[in-house]
Amino acid sequence: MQFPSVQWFEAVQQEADTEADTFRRMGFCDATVLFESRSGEDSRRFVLDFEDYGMTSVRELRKGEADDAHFSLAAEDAVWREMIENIHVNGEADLEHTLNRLQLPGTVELAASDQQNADLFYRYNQTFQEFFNLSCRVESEFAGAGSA
Amino acid sequence: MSEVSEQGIAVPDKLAKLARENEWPLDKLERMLGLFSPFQVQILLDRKMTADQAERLLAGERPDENAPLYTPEQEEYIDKLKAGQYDLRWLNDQEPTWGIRSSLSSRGLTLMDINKAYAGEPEDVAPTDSMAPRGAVLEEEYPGMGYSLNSKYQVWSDNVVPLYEEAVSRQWSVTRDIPWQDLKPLPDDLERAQCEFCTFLTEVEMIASDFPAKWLWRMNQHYHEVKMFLCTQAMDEARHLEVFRKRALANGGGLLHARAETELGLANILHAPSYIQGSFLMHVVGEGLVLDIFRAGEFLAQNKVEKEMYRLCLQDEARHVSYGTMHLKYFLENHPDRETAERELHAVAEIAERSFTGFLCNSFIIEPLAVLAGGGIKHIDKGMDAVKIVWKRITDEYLNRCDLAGLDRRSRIALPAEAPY
Repeated sequence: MQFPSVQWFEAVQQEADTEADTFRRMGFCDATVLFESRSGEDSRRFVLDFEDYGMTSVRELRKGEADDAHFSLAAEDAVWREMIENIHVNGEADLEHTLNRLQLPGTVELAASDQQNADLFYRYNQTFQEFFNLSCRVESEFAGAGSA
Repeated sequence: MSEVSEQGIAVPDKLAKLARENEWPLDKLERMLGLFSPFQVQILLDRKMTADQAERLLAGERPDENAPLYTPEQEEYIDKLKAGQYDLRWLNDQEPTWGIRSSLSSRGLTLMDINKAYAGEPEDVAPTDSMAPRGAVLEEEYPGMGYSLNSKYQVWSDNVVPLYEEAVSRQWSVTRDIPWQDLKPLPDDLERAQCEFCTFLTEVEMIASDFPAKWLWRMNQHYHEVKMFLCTQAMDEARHLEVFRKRALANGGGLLHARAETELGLANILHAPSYIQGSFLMHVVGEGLVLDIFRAGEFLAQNKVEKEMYRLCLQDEARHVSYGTMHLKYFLENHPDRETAERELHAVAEIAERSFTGFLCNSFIIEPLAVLAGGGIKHIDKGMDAVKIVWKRITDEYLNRCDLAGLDRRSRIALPAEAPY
């Protein structure tokens, strides 16, 4: 399945559905996240709605289309690809590929209209991490050659 | 109202009247108030306990067998019940809530759901000094709980209701949810660095339980959601003490050095003279700083145990910061004299920003961080780069939160944007 794509995120959520108890135990998560993958001047942007215990919808934005996300996570294609491949190999992100680990030094950029919205990334961090960890069960193909 | 007697004991007017009705001499009442609270004494006077019976209590003895158990009203009610007569006033109260049903949301019945249905918007000034539930039928008079925070702007934040729900929903267990079995021995320098860091965190975390506990009983019950949220915060911080103490002691290291310098920062919070000062110091400054320290802890984790514990802690901490930031905003926007309030908070911030340095220029905090970041004592220089990132994040986010709250520290901040080392 192509990464990133609406189908890819939906496939991950389907895996999350099979782990409903885990997500319920982690608690409510109410945030709209803009996921951006950049390649030179181009980028692909996806709006992921998290509500209650998981992602309830995902859509890809057109070029220039405004978003209503609380915060965005943006990185080069290569950064996301390395993270997804690492998750695939290890069954979860290893110590050097968690979302917080990538974001703190700015490898993944966190942006929001205000700090309250940015702080949602911290408040629900476990849910987001677990969500991406479940991509280890999704066959991922990347632009150019290669898959994980 | 109350009068202060010659012995220096405050005698509430209501109690003095009851004492006269029960033929207690004033000195007896004063002696009782020297030993018991006015409310305890009122319980006895309401039951028509005699002065002689009270004297026996003062002597540490049981009152005689005729000492009354019931108030006259209760005795009358018991007689009626024996005769098969019920009171039933409660059945006939004209309650405005009657017939109102709360709708459910997708996650169950939340506080937001019931607040939408009835009495969800607290008044700007609490209507009573009591624990009577908001929206209940009120009586003419209550004993008085002695609250000092009776205005909404003193405690409220617009996000406190969903934050309480989120806090309850996202609780976790140190014993169950951390994969302790994955903890493996570390080289001595890394273990020592993690243990020193965990000693610091074990020491500081429960200030964020003690501080709300100090203020909770002073907050009017009309704003119960704030009190409920602060109870979750107290529990969160108990869990943080637990997780860092366990980590320090679980892997062959132990608790290391606790510094007086750190304690000064904690005392600064606990003994803040007002709730808003303390909340700013704790929720916005202190927990904002610790939130980034937790993020650094996750970043520097040497194993999955540390990853999990810092990640789970940072979620909790971010909720507390969120309440504090939005409370500061609400406080400033609704304060009757905003200019004075801002002036006071700027002065507090001047002190608070200087207290940052007690953590960020503290060798027992930043050097362990640098050793963990560098991967060992040999690479401590390289590790200091990560410490510098943390400094920048802390100051950036602090300023962002002040901006959001409407307290312009950007043009006045005492701290440099970049670490001075």
